[in-house]
Amino acid sequence: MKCQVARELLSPYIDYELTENEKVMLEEHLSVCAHCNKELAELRSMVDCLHQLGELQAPTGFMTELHSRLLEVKVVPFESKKTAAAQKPRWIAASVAGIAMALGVYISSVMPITPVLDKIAGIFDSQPAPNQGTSIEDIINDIQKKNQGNQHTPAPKDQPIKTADVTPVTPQPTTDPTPSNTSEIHSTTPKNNTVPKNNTTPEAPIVVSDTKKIDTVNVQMTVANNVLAADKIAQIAMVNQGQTESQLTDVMSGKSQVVVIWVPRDKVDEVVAGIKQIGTITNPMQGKQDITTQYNEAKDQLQVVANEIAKIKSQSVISPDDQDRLSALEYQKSFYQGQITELDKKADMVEVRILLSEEINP
Amino acid sequence: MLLYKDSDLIQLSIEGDTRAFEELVGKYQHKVYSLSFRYMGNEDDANDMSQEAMIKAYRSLKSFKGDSSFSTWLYRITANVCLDELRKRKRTLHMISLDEPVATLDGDDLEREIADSSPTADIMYERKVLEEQLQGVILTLKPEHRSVVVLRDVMDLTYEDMADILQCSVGTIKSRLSRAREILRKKLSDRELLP
Repeated sequence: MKCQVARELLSPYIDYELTENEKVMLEEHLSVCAHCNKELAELRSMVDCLHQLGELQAPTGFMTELHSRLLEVKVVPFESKKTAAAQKPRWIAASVAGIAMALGVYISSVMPITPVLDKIAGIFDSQPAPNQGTSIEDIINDIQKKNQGNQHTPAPKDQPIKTADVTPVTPQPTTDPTPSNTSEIHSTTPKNNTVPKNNTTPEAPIVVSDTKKIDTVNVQMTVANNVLAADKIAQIAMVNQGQTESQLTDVMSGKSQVVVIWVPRDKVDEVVAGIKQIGTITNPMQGKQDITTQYNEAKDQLQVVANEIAKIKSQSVISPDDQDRLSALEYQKSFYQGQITELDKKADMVEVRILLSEEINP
Repeated sequence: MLLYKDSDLIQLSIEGDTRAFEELVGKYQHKVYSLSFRYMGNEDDANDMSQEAMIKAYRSLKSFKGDSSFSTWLYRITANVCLDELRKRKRTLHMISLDEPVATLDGDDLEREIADSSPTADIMYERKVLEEQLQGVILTLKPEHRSVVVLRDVMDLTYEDMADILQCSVGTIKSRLSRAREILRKKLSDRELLP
């Protein structure tokens, strides 16, 4: 057998896809040809490497995005009379939901921004459960009334949420006027984490505030169906420029039990109003999650890496080895910058954690 | 819902149950995303192509006859969506040649000099560099060669499934894979990426 023919058989050979005859002929050739043996070894090695690439994980929220797209395209793929009839209530429900979302967006665009958790407290406290006949309009009216009752001056974007660490929500207005340090980080930290270009150029030091905390809202909800509720919560988060952080599923029942969403501060009221439509909310709690250590460590690492980069760049001659090291350092710099950006982003949002439980039917 | 077989979920989907469809494709979301990523080479495109493939699957579920497994059918749609996009880009963007190495490959052995920073970043960097180098070389293959290498060597599918997905004979798969592996082996060898 010639090498050219043998080489064409190497690929099916490692996959056990040769006929018995082909296999015998190839193995005879391999027993005398060092060159083809080397190619076979390299081929096997390459296939092993490719196997190690493995399976990637679809991004978080992939299925939620798909769900929204399926609703958006409003595809009715199978138009039998039976299914067309079955689709009708869904279509009506989707339309109602669409109108509600549009109303929500409109209301949010005309409402002044007020301290978020004051509103949440009011919503939780004054709204009857949806099962008692609450309409979307009622909730929107209630929010508007709350806004009229509150101060009309729009709050700054980084208005801190005035709460103690994890306290039950009460309808009384908060009395603590002291702003938390959450806002300091945004006003003192440069948005772009610039790296000093060299040792001689003074750069503004990265100022890290004492504490950095994320505002959280925890609620418990009794719903008719955990899976459907989790799905609706994810949709509500999405239409309000939020995102679903995680969705914990009970292994035994296969049903969602805890849903964590992140929503912009100025959208929390719409989100809560929407969530109230799904089930009965009990035990609302608000609090803060301290991410100071995590944030500071990322900042420190970024500074170390930035200094190292500056040191190398200040050299008059940069060797190929230095160039390699610079590539590695640049990657690490973007890694820590990404971490910091993510934490900054989270600090601008509110984490809403919903513990779901299904109604027990007698 | 987790106890339903594919065939049950397909039937429910055909009757208009979108939750059943989501349950059905949810089982394959990671594989579909992986396949898309290996074709496209970046996360944004992989996400877009995967979403597009699933919407197409939903639209054409009626045409699924059950001749192959649902997963094979879904991978076929995914491969076609990616190949269509690559063809479209090749037609409209003449500046990119698929046979040219990507820029990230220019610096060999980047992992050699990593030192004294946090272990997490180091480990992630090493893994990222190796994966990028391999993925980068895969992206230099022509789409038809990329298809067979990804389906066989990354996703570990059989020749029969590959023939089904790519709508050609097993013989064609065999010869195309042999050719693609030969090209890839040479490229990796040239870059000293083989152990």
